Amino acid sequence: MSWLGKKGQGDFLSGDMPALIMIVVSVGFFLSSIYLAQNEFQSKKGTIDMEAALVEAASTFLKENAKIRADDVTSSTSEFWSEKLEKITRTYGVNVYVELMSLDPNAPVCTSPKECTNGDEPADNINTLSKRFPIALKGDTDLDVYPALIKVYVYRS
Amino acid sequence: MMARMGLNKKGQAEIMDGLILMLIAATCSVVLLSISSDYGSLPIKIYEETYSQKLAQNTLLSLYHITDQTEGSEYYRKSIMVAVSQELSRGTTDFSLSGDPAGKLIGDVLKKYSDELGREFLFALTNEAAMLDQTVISTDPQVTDAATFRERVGNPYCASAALTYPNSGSCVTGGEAGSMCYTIFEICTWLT
Repeated sequence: MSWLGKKGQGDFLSGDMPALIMIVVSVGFFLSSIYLAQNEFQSKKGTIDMEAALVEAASTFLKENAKIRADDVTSSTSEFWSEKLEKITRTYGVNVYVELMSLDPNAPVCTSPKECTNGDEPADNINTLSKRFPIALKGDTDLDVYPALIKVYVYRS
Repeated sequence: MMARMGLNKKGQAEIMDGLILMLIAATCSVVLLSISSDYGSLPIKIYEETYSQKLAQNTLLSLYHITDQTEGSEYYRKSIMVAVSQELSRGTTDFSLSGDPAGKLIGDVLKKYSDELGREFLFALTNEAAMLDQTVISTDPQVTDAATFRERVGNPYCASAALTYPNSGSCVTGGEAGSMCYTIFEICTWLT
């Protein structure tokens, strides 16, 4: 270490200290990357679960197309809500909020936003995924079926 | 380790060992972070594709159920696909004509879905897997037939189903099965 003129620097760099510092830095860097990676895995896993819940909801509405009445969504005691959508909640560990809206002004119900909803609306600061699905909304009789959209929000509280 | 490789000055070998360790740690960290950032991208892509597929299927199924609510209309309180079936039995296949009642019903519903969902939709009858140009109804004004569909639409998601209609002498499209004719119709959706 002759190129280092000041007293003490040569001794410092010629001992074990630099290697020890590098070992500590390397281990620290690696451990912090493990921590970051673990956070990333957890975050992505949560997103995957929410995406899966949305696709499951799409399948549910596909099967129930033209069978859903406004009451099925607005009533918390309806068979549809308790059996179909709560199953999604249980399976994927997510909260589900649903908005049903008719696209036909002639429909007797659900013609304005938030008129036909079920579940707790997610707060603005919560990470939420949402998708909208076309659906046929049943009116008073089997001959009154209107184009409608179901908007499903999936979030974790 | 470096001492054995010829670095005999005191401290140099340890520094080299430390540098190698840092290099290994940095490489492992980069690999780990790269794997974690890619994690889930494939399933999410598959879920997005499944969603688009379900969207097309839901739209197709809705056309079977949604009824014409226009009072005084020929198809009042009848399903849209019933209207298509009856038009076909009369020998009409040109649903893209603005005056065709079945075509107008389909166009109205698809436009409503398109406006709300921000996606384009297309309806067409197919014959041997090829779209019949005169039956194409699209929410994208640039897509008017099979050729413009192929040219302009990059990655559509489509769902198809069979439709039967009464055989009134000859089947205008599709096949014949006794007193009934059958054809295939298709709904496609894509992002603009």
